[in-house]
Amino acid sequence: MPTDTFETELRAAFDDIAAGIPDAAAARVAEHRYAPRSRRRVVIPAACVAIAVAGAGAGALVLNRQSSHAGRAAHAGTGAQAPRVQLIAQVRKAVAAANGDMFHAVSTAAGAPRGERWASADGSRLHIAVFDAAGTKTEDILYVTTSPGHVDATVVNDANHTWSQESDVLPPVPAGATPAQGPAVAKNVAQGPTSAAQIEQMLVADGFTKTGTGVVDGMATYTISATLGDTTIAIAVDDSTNLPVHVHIGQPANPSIVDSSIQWLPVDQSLLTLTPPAGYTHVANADAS
Amino acid sequence: MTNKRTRDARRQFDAFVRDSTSGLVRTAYLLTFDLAEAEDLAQETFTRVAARWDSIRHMEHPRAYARRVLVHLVYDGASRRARWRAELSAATHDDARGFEPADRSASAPFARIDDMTVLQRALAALPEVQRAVLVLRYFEDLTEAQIADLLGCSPGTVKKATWRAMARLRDTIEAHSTGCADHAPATR
Repeated sequence: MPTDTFETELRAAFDDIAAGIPDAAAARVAEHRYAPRSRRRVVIPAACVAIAVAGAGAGALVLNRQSSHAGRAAHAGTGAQAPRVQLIAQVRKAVAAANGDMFHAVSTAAGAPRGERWASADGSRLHIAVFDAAGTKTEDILYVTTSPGHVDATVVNDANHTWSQESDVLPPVPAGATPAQGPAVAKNVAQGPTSAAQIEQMLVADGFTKTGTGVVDGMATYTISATLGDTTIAIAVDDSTNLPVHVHIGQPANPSIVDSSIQWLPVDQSLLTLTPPAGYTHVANADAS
Repeated sequence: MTNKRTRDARRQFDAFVRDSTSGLVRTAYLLTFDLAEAEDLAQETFTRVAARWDSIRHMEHPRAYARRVLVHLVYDGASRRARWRAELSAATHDDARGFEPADRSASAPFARIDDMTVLQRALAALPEVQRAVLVLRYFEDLTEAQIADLLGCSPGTVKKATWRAMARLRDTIEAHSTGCADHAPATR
């Protein structure tokens, strides 16, 4: 057979193989919520504070890697992902195993209200509570992903007793964001990791390595860190469970931008729903920030 | 202004994912012959592209960039990297010894490929580098120079890897054909 013919057969073989790949495979990949970044994704801390004080929304960092591994989830037990550092693999495994639990985080950041959040295992339901400097809750927001890339939000404003319902807001972006990238509501709040799935993805993507040990809330921990540009992310991991318990995000100019304490709790559906209290007024936009 | 720019970027990215996912998963599968891994690699590719989307979206061929990311992800697996380097190194040593692939004529007769499954199996059994150059050459339609640039080797190395892969495929197919003829039922 002439070479040309063989090459034609080869092309046909590749096409046949490719044609045999189920559409669902591509669909699974496309379904995930990727978060394209703009140039202004990293805002210097001073700017964050200034923006927050101005009431225009705080911005800090973007760690918006969401979703678990499509292929692993769909083909558990088949194939092999590229080997990674064993320690990080342990953390990922623990996070994946804890994915049936509810993710709970409390985040603080200079110049931004304290944020507390609860997320379902896959991050599709995310409840954020915003607290003022005195510790009083000022706002409740529930984000519900209705389909890939589409997020509805219910906002309850405790400061002026109003509530609103918004459709197709931008997905909540963890760890703060520029106003343009962040959700349409709850901009002015310290934002850290939002779900187990997001942490798992972060561990895959950002080249974490072990950088030390410590004690967090009486628990022996080890620290894994990664650097993205001039931003450092340090995750304290419970030595006994391999689950992250604290995430610290810093930059040289401001070593403490966002600190998040993380708990892994049994699922409490009441925290993943939000009903406006009786007597609150329905408005077009109850966003307080 | 920034909001509009971000929304535009988001829309462009969504369209890019929508248009290129299928092709990327297919290429990833042909490179790995592991569907789960192919999906993971495609997802990781989009994640990385998303991280630089503001720059990439202005490129003439964003998909080419994504393909480059994908190939590097495949290449970057530690065990793969070791194997790929060994294979590329072997090709380089062949260069040094003056190995001439042309000593096996490209127009040598082959068994007719009647059974594509045999070819598919042979492709799956190829060393990864050899399969990669074939995928990039005959599925992605890249030139040898483009493949060399992607893999970080010389065009000559790509040429030899291609030749080796083709030779191995032909041997496999011929062996299969011969085996079939030897064991063919008399009534056939």
